[in-house]
Amino acid sequence: MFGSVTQPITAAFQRWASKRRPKGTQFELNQKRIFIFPTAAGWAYLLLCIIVFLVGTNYQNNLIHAVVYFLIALGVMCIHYTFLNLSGLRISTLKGYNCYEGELAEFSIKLSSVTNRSYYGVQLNWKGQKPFDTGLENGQETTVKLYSRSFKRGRLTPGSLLVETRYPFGLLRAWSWLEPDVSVLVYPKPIQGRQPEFEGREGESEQLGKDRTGDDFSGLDEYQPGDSSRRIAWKHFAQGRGLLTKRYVGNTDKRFWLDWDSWPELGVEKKLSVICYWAQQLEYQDVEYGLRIPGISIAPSAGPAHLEKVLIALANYPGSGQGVER
Amino acid sequence: MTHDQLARTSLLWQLLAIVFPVLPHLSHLPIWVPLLLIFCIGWRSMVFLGRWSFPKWYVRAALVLISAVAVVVSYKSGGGISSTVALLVTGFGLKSLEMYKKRDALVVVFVAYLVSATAFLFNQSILMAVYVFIALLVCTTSLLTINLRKEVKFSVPLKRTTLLVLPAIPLMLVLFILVPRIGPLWQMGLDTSAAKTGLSEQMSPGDITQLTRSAEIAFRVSFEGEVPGQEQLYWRAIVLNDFDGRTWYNDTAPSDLKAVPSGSTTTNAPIEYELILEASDRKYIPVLEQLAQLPSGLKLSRDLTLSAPVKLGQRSQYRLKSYLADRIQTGGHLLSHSRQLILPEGNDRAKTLARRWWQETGDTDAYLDKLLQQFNREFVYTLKPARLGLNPIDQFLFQTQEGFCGHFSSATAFMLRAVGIPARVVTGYQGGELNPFENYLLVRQYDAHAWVEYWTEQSGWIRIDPTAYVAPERIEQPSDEVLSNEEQFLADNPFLSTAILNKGWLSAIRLRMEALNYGWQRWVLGYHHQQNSFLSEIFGQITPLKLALFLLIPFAVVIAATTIMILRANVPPKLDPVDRAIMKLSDHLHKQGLQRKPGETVQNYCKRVAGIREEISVLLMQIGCLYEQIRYADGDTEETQIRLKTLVKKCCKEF
Repeated sequence: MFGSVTQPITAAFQRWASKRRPKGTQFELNQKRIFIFPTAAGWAYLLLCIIVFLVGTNYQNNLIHAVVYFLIALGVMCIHYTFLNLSGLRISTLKGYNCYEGELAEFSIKLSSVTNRSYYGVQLNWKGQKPFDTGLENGQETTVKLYSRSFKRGRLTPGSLLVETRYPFGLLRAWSWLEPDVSVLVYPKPIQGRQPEFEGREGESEQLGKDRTGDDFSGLDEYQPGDSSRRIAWKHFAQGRGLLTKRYVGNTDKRFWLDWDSWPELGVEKKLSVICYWAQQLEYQDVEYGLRIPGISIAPSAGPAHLEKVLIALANYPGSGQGVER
Repeated sequence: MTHDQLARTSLLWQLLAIVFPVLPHLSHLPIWVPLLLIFCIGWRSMVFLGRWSFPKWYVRAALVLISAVAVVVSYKSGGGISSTVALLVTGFGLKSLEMYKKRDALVVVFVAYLVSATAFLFNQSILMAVYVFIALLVCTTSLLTINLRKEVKFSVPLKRTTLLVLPAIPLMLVLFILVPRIGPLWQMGLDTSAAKTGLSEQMSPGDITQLTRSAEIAFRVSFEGEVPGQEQLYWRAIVLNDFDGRTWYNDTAPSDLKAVPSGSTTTNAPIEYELILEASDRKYIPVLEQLAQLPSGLKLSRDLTLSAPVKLGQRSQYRLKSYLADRIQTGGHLLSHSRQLILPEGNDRAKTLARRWWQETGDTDAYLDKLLQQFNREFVYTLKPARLGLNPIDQFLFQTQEGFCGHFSSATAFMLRAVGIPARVVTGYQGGELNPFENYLLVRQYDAHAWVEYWTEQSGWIRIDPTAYVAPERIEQPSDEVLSNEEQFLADNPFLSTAILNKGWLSAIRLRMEALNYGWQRWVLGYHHQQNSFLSEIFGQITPLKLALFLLIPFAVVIAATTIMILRANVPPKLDPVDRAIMKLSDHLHKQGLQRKPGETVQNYCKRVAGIREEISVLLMQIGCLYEQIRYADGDTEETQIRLKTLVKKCCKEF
C-alpha cells in the first residue's frame, strides 16, 4: 500500500548505505557486519511468552512459570544460534559469466568458514532477486551459483548481496549486506535481421545458411584452445584418443565482414542486436568473420574465443547504460 | 517446494506437536474433542499420503460451526480454563486440516506450546512435568522443521533440537530460581476438580464417615524444630457454635479479629511450622491450637480459627507459629458465651441424666469425668454406627452406644450445655504420619476428627477429646495403624491398604515416594513460598539492585559458557605432524622472506629455497623427498614422521 510512497526513500537509503559498505571480493561475516532482529514469528513468540506468563502468574503455578522460563531461555539462546549461523562465514565471489540481454547472468560464489561448524539454511540473494538456500556441513566449503536478471546491454554489476538466515527457529533474522566487486558483460540480445550483403575477400558473395558440404576432410590436428568445438573429433575423444580437431581443406577461405554500415536503416541498439545474431550464425556455420564497428575493427577469424571478442566489443559499444546496475 | 510450503518431514512433526500436548488433557475434555482431533489428523494424514485432497471450504466452515456449537453446549455452565483449553484444542485440530503453509504451522506450534503449559493446571505431578518437557521438545522440534528448506530424515530435526535446547536449560533454571514471583494479576476460577474433599461446614454425626475412609492428602507440615507428639497434634479448622438438636453448624459467622489476642496460656515457646494445604475448595486453614501470630492476608475469627479470604481452589502454603496448649485463653465472662449454651427442645432423657449427674457431682471436672468414664466403660468406637432417629443424642447415649468422634463430641458438648457450661464442637484433624526421610508430617483426610471445647472462667476454652476415652489407641497412634483392622477402612484404595498391611519394604518405598513428592511440592510447586527465605538465606537481605545483579550475572555466565562451548568448534582442525613440521619450516624461513607461497608444492618449495640458500640445500632436498614419500608413496609411518621432524629441526638450527 505504501510501496509507491516509501520506495524512493528506501532506494535512496540503499544507495546511501551501499556506498558506505566496503567493497571487495572476499568477505568474512562478523559482529561488525551482521545485523539481527526478531521476525514476525519472533514477536508472536514473545506474545506467547507473555500469555503463558500471565496464566502461570494468575494461577500461581510454578510449573507453568518453568515453561515460561524455558521459552525465554530458548528465545535468548536463539539470538546466539541465529547470529552464530552467519558469524564466521566467508563469502568470496569467484566469477561472473557474461550473458545475452534478457538472460540470467550467472555468478559463482564460494562459501567457506573460518570455523568448522555447520551452517544451515543460509540464504543468498542479489537485491531484489529470488533467494538461494545453502549451508555448510562441518565448515566444508561449497560453491553456489547465483543469477541476476540482465536488462540492458553493457556492464552489469549485480549490486548488493544479501546473506541472511532465520535458523534455527525462525524467530530472528540475521542478515548482512555485502558489496561484491564483481560484474559481467551483457551482450546485445540477438535479433534476427536482414541478411547483409556479405563480401568475401576474393569478392565472391555466397548465400549464407547453406551448410558447407564441399569441404574436404584432410586430417586431424592436436586440439588447441580456441578451436571450434564443432570441429572436435568426438568419436576419437570417446575412444580415449584425446582431443583432436578435424582439419578441412578446400573451400575454407571465406571471410565475411560484419559491417556497421550494412544496416543503415536500423537504430544503434537494433543494429548491435542484428550484428550479434549474425555473429552467432556465422560462428555456428564455422565461417570466419570480422567485425567493423565505429572505433573497433576485429580481423576475421572463428572459434569461441573470437566470438567472445566480438560480443565483448558489441557489449561495450558506447551508448547503452554502461555501469548502470541491473 | 515453494518458499512458504512445508516440508513433509515438517508436517509429520507438526502432527506430533498436536498429539503430544493434547494427551494430558484427555481426562477432562469432553469426548467429542479428541474424536474431532483424530478425524482432522486422520484426514490430514490421508492428504499427506496423497489419497485424499484438502477439504473444500464449505466442509471446513461446517466443521468450524459444529465445533463452536459443541463447545458452547459442552460448557453451558461456563467452563473457565477447561473450556478455554477445549477451544484451543479444537482450533488446533481444525487448523491441522488446512496446514499447508508455514504460517499455519507456526500458529499450530505456538498453540501447542500454550496447550502443553496448561496441562499443569490439571496435574502437577513429577511424571507430568517430565511428560510436558518432552511435549515441549516435540513442539520445539516442529518449530525447527518449519524453516527446513530441504527434506531431511525424520530423526534429524529432533537431534538438532535436543542439542539446541540443552544449553537453554541452565538459563531456565537460573530464571526459575531468581525471578521474583508476583501475585495473581486478576482472579481466575478453576473448575477442573473432581470433587474436592474437605471438612464440612456442619456436622450431624455420620457425615465424617466419608472422610475417614479417604486416604487423600489434606495437608503436609514441616516443623522448624522437633515434631510434637501425636497426642498434641490437634489441628483446629472449624468451630461449630450452634446446635439444632441434630446438626452442629454456624448460624452466623463469628466476627474477625485484627490480631492474635494477647496473653498466652502457656510459657512454652511457640513452635514454627510450614503448612502445605491441598486444594480443598473451602476457606479454612487448619492450625495447631493457639495461633501466636496472624499471617498477613488471612482472616482470624473470634474462635481463633484461621481462614483464607477466598476458597482454596489450589494448593497453598503458609508459614505459621502456634503455642501448644490444650486451652485457649480468651477472657470474657459467662454471659458473653450464651451462644454456646443454647439447646433446642428434644433429647429430654439426656437432659434429665445431665441434671442428675450434675447434682451428684456439682463440679465441672468431676461431672466430665463421670461422663467420660461412662464412655470408656460402655461405648464402642465404630465406623459403621447405626442410623440415629429423631432424638439422636438420647438414642446414642441410651440405645446404640456406638459411634465415632462426631457422636462422642456431639453428645459431650450437649451434656455440657445441658448443665450450663458453654461448649462447642471443633472439627479439624488429629495426628498425622511422620515421614522419616524428609522430617515432615503428612495429614490425610482420614485423620479428620471432631472434639469439644468447653469454657471456664479461670482457663478459658479447654479442649476435651471424648473419643480418646472410648478408644485410646485412636488418639495415641496414627489412625492408619489403629484402623487397619477395620474392614471398611481404605476399602477404595487397595494399593495403599496392602502397603499399610505389609509394613515392610513396600511401605518404605511408599514413604520414599512420598518424601520425593513432598520435596517436589515444597521446592518446585510451592517455590514462590520458599523463594524469599531461600534467596535471603543465600544472598542476605534482598534489594532490587542485588536481585538485578544476581539475575544478570548468571545470565551472563550461562550465556558466555554456552557461547564458548559453541565457539570451541571454531578452532581450525588440527594439522597432522607432517604438515606441522613443514609449517614450522616455512615459519622459520619466513624471517628471510622465504616462506612457502600459496599453492606451492612442498617439493617445489624446497627446491626453490635450496637454490637460494646453499648451506641447507641438502637438508631441504631430503625434506622434500621425504615429504613426497610420506604423502604419495605409502611412507606415512611413525619412523618417517620422526625423521622429517628431526630434519626440519636440524634445518632450522643451522639456518
